[in-house]
Amino acid sequence: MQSENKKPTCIGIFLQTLGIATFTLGGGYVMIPLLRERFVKKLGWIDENELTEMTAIGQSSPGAMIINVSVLVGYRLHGFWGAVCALLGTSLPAIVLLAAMCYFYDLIRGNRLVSAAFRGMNAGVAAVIADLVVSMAAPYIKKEQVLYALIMVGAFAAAFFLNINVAIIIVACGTVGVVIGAVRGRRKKV
Amino acid sequence: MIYIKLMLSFLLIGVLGFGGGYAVLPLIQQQCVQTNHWLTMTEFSDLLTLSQITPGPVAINAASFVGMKVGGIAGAFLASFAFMLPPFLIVSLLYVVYRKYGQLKTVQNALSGLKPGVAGLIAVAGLGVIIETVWGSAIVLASTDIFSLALIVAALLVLRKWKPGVIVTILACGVMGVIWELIRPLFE
Repeated sequence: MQSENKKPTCIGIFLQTLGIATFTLGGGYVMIPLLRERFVKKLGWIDENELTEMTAIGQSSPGAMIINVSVLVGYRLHGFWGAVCALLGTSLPAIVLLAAMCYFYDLIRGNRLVSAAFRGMNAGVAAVIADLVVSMAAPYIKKEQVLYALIMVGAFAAAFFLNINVAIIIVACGTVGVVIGAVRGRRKKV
Repeated sequence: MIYIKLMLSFLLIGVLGFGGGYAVLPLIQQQCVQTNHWLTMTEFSDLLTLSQITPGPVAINAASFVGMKVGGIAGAFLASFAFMLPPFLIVSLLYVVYRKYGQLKTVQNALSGLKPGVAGLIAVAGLGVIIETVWGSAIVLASTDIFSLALIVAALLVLRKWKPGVIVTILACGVMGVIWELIRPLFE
């Protein structure tokens, strides 16, 4: 049916991304397989390689990775306005839903059972983040990665103990990364 | 004016939010809890929970929630679009550069430094949520919420061992919270 949509229109891009974004729980990485299924396999609008390349660029940019990827897909399909439509389609469900939730949140947060549910779920989120940190830290606990492990520990200490502005820490980490890369690159040449 | 402050805060979060999803949490926490006092730490923890159990990127969820709280519907859209603008411009630029020159060594080097740094910062945000959930404001032994602490440890063990979905884990913890609230009088 939809696979006969050979030429993607702006509205088509908007509706496709809107559909994917509305029914995807659990954030960015869950949406990549869905984008692949829809845009690569079903609609044939982009190919597998392009999506992989776009995912890499999306990850290298600030902001929500999946929005970045959608924007790139939009650019590829219909230029600037395609990108704008993809951005709107991907972000609108989250904006509208959370605005609505914020409204109800103020109404029901005082309820005893709602509070209890939130307390339990917050504990769950704390565990999820702890799990993520363990997974993210694991690759750096190696001898050849000691410089990057130091960046990790340094960033933690700077934020937790010294209360240094997060913005400064992020810029510093990026700078140190560039310096390490440059020094290693030069050593290899010599 | 509140809208300008909101916009500037989320523009900054958008510029610096490298690493996707959870990586923006430390930035949001600093801007919204510490610097501007738009959210309490409890509300920030609740916001994380809501972001996890609803569709869409965590950062957009957070921007919309905070914007709505501070400036209504207009605030929700303003904060979300302010957050998305810098990445949109950067992605546009990168796309052009990438197509022309292939891989950018410097960008990759910067990212390899950012990734471990972001891991460290997420650890700080996670620790904040743990402290808020178990102790409230300050760490005092007497105010330890043993139920929450046990729930966090149990959920972490289950996550490491069986890798269930994030949403299933969080909702199960919510159910446990309600059950505990209902049966707690029996123990007191």
